[in-house]
Amino acid sequence: MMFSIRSSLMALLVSWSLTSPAVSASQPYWARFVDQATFGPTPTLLDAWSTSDPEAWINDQRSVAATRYPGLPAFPSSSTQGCPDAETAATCKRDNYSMYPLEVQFFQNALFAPDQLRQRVAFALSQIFVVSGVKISQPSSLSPFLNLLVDGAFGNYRDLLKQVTLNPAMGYYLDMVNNDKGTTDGKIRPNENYAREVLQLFSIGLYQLNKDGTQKLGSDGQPIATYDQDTVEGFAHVFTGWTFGTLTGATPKKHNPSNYLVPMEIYRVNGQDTNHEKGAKQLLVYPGTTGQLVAGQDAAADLEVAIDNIFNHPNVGPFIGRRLIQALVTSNPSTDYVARVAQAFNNNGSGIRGDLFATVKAVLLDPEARSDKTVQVSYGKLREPVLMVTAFLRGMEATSDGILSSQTKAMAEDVFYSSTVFNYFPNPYVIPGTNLDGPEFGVESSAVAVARDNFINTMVYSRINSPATTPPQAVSGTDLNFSRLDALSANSDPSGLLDYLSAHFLQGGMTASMKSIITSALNCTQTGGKGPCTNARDRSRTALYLVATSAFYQVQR
Amino acid sequence: MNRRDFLKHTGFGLTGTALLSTLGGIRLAEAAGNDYKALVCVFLFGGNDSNNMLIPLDAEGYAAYNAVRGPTSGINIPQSSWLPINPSSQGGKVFGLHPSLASLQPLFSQNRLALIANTGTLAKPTTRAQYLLGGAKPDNLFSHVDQQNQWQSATTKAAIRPTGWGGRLADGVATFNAATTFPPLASLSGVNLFTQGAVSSVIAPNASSLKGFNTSAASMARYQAMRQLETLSSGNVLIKAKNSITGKAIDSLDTLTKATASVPALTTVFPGSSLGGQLKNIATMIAARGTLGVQRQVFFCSLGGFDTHSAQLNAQAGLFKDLADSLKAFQDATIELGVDQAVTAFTLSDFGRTFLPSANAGSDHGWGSHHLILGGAVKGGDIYGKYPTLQLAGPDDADSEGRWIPSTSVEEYAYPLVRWFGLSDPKVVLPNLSAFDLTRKDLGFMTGV
Repeated sequence: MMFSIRSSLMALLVSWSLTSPAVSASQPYWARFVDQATFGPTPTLLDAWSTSDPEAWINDQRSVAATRYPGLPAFPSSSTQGCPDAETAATCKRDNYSMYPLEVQFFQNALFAPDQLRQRVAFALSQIFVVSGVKISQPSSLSPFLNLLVDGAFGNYRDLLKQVTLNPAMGYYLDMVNNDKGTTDGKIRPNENYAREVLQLFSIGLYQLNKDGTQKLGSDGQPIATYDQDTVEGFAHVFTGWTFGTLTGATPKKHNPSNYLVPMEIYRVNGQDTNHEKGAKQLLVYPGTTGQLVAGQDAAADLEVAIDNIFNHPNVGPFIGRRLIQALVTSNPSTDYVARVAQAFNNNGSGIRGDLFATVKAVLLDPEARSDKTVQVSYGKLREPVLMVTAFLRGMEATSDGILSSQTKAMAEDVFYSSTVFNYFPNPYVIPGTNLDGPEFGVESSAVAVARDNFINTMVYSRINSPATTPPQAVSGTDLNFSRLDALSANSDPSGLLDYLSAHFLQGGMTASMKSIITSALNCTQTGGKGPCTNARDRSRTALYLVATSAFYQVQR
Repeated sequence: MNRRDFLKHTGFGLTGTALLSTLGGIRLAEAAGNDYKALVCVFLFGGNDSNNMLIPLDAEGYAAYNAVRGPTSGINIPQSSWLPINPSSQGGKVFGLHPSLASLQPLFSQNRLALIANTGTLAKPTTRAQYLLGGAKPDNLFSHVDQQNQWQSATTKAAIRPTGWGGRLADGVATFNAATTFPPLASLSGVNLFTQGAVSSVIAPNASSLKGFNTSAASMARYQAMRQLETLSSGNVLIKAKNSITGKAIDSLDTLTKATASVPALTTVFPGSSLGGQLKNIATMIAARGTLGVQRQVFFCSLGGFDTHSAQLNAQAGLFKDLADSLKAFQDATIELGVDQAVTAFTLSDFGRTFLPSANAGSDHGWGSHHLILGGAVKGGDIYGKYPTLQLAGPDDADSEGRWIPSTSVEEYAYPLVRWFGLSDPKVVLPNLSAFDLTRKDLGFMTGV
């Protein structure tokens, strides 16, 4: 009782203090927020700075309807059977046996959907709970999983963890589906894949953490493991006995045929979970639990206990909190920042643990996210290729059909085709030659660096042509809209052009040296030596190319 | 098939005089001479189940295999399917290679291919009894990323070294490459720890170098502005790091594009797979060694998909075929280039896998595993190191599921390669080397060391 009154009071205080600035203090203040909370600032969004407030905007975003992925029909497992017509086979396979339609939807959502915060958080979650088209062959199989993340982005982490666990795409990806109990002769034992990765990657990580995300150290000064091989085997035993959902009208089998449209189910014979490992199981040990799961329980009950056992581990708040901070705001948050976000995860102010909306709000409204960036040498994050592409296109009010995945693939971020469950880029990853984290640097090879510049080059000097689509789309390919830039570039004085680029792409941070260098490359030709520059588009292109390829833009601050 | 497959030079080359500075690293004269060597690391990502790559084929050996991985295990390979090889050591036993490694079998007989048995991350030589008593063991065994990093950096600590042993090796032989600023390290598989040096830089070749510039005054002005912006300091460490990567990338890719444009196309046909393409690119870079002015190169390429928790038989067969065909083509290409004595390829992988099958016809994360070493300077036709006893809870098992405790460490595996490469003090590259017995006679798989 005391606790809940106190926490409500806390919530009031927190809420009061955060809403105090009625509107953004400045355009850069707002621009920076929009960079963190959306797939990139559009001119329209930015222009609304003087009437916009981060907290009010976040609250509004909660009620914007979710833009979901389409439900697609399941095809036969053989693509030759599913796409028999030789003439249309290539398109048919692309649309039904690759993640292509989901990639297109992803980029359309990122560029144009009104539920920007939800989409951005869902994208961040998709890089924690990783399922990949490297193994999943049909988009119809992945679509329900992506919708779980979109729907659950502002929900509770425990619900999401359970749904992810029982999702058949995840089940197939990490081998929980059709995971049999061990054979009595001991010659085959339960599969450990999901058990290991749900602990290492989706929830708590390898080491015991303090609330501020730092590692706890043992008496020997070394980090303390969160689990051992026995624990992995315990969870592997929990995750036995599940199979695909029984298709309508079919007889349930120990290994049902593929069905990605409904959650996995327990195989039962006369109500008994005969394929579930019934012995006692070792789960996670932490203050408040010995992690002993008693023998003989039903598979459904075992799963609930196991999910709770993970969910209540003290690591989850700092582990997930830090990942979300890194996804949205900065690669190297202070320990205090992590602790504040972990606190919001642990208790949303109403005594609820695992509230992702409260957690995201804490990430974005934290003083460290909102304060002045210029003093911090370690602040910011390298824009991952997807976010670089979307921010650049949104900033230039591009029209696009969303066919962009080959662009980011060339930059080592092949959307929905992460090469492993460890995501497109590693975390943690220390930037060579520094002591700073920078997960996105983990794929920033020379090839990727140049591919980024070449993407900017394609967009600025040309366009992306798309294959003819069926049915024909109103928009085909991707083009920038230069109208705002060209109007400014006509002026022989480049300061208007550079101020615009600074405000729209650099949060107002273009330095005098940068302006001077760009100006040196801007040649103005005027008719008879007077009037507007006749080569305004050339000037727009030169300035835009230089700003967008610069590290000042590629690193989001 | 020609060099355009390697570097599609679709952009306008940076040929303007103002851009000549990017050519500073090239030693234009034929330079490499005879003292050229390259190491090629082929990383098998996911943890290769080498229990199905190499087994003893004699009656006793196959019976031990079959007792655990029999016909009902879901991952059995019948005795008649294995490709027999006759190593010179190992007590005269016949061993078998996985049937999909067919294109490597002749290379074994030609003494170009060797295998090294049960190798992995080790803090020091460890027995089962020591392991079960909690003796020194690598941190985070069985975790993909940790074990990858430990293999690549030659450590057993979770706090990984900031450099890989390939990178440190390039640092250590820097005097061989003094004539050029072109990176001695190249990754065909993106950023990785193995090719991270303390001072040596690494290039990841791209399908094209920087596009969109020509020799017009406006273009040159934009190029110069771009390069100037790279040098602007903001005080922000991430911006500085990004600028450093971009700057080196533009220069080295430009150098490479020009250098490879001048070498004749390889006639060796590579598989159309990703790994085939990576190894073809490596061969093309080796062909350009004279123009690039490098005498020691360390390459990294990879094949992913070895995390075979389920449906392993089909998956691994496809991977092994790709691996074998790609390595065979690479070996042929080095012969075509006349450098087969100077180029050694070898595999690494996260870990081996449990000998005991898991549900879903797969295997789980293990520890020690067998590896391939290929090249004209390899004393091929043999299996080096100690092959494990194929027995659950047996003398080589860390537990009861067939996670082999390595009988050879990463350091001991790397040691002959590092010495062959010409490094006088291998401890710089392999700091933990002194924990192992360097007088062992069963690991001398390289000639001339």
